[in-house]
Amino acid sequence: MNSTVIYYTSNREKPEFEARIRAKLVETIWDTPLISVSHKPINFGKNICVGEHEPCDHNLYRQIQIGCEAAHTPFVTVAEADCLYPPEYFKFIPPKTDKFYRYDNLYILYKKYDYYFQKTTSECAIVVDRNLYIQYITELLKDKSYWKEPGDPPLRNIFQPNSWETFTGQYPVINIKTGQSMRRYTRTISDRSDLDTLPYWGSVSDLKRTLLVEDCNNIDTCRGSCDQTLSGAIPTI
Amino acid sequence: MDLTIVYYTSNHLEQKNPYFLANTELQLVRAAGDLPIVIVSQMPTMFGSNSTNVCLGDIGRSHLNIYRQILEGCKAAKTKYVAMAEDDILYSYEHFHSEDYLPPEDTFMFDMNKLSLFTWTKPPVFSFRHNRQVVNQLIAPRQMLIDSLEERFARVEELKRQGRPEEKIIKVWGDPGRYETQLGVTVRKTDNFMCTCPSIVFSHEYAYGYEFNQGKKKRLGDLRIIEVPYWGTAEQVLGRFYE
Repeated sequence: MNSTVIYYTSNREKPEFEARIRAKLVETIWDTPLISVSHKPINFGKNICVGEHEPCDHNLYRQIQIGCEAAHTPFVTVAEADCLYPPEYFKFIPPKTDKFYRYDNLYILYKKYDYYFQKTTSECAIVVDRNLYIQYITELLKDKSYWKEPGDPPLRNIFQPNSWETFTGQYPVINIKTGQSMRRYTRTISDRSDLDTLPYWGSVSDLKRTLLVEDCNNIDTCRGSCDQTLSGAIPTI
Repeated sequence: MDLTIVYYTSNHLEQKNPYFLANTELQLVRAAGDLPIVIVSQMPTMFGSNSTNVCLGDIGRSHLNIYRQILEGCKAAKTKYVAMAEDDILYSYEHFHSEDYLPPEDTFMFDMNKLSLFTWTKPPVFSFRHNRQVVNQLIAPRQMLIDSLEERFARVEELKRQGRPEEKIIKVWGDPGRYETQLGVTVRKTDNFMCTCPSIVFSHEYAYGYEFNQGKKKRLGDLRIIEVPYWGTAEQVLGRFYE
């Protein structure tokens, strides 16, 4: 295997929502090695529980660093707890080891809006040489406390313009903004051509019903296809 | 008209007074006519039929973020000129549509015909303050404004590196054309025009300037006006704020 999936979460999303995201991720990555780095223990790949910390960039990068250090493959592919990824995202192997590769077919789904909003790229969809990511984070957090403490200065942007390139695929990554995540709103550019349906993922309304339905009684095994959600609404390619 | 309206909002009013916001947006669409609008927001925001939304996410309300949003809007626009628009101001069609108000390539142009309407004054009255150039009435050559703001932000970073706190730096960050010597950036030309129809600038409790600046201590302008053509009486216009 060339790459390990690093799944990181502060466990701030609703458990049933995160369970559906994880179920979809498992379905998508098949036998790719998986390391989860979480604030609370979860049964998901090789789990490293780091304890509860403030959700912020500092702690998020620390989690990624821990995940990268635990991996053994040359590359890592990141996965967040509020994102859906198509299979092709996990098949990409970077051609160079000195660049970050950001997936550029990316949309945002907000709980309160009925459209997908296009975004250029994000740290939620990156494939990179494992040692390079460790090196960047080590430099970023140098001389700082291990976990963020009150009064710590804000971090600079880790991704300088010449440090990354993009890669793309036919099907988009979708970042779902439920209102529970670290950032409620994110940068998007859109006009009247905003989409209510995306290839592979389907319509906003179906996806919302599948992922955001509440009061699921079967959190541990929920794939969004039990009686309380739309049958079969999590799409497969 | 080779002009784009750059509308910038923190989306604060969406929570605080959606009725008022709907009224100012509706008026902006009327005033814009066929002109493109770039909406620069912190939450996804869309209105008008010829609009683009640049959502910057949770960057927060601050003096500098107003200008960061303006800069992003100017970069997203494609026309030679840009006109600023805020979410608590009623603009007229005339403000955006006269070729006479377009400045030379090296000049920031400000509409000085703006009336303030304080939502707490009883009875309601418009007031006029002369000789005050405000960014929300700016019409600018797009590239000039981009260059000016990029220079200012670079200067802010430089001053921060020298150990100056941001709170002190922003005291000399004025409207375009203002305090440029004090900030240490290129001094740029400004000029004024008086539109035939005034913009109505609401001063209200949800405004950034109210919450973080003067509040109700803000003084009315020198001239007090009960009624103006097109808009009607101050009391009628206040009906667009209070449902």
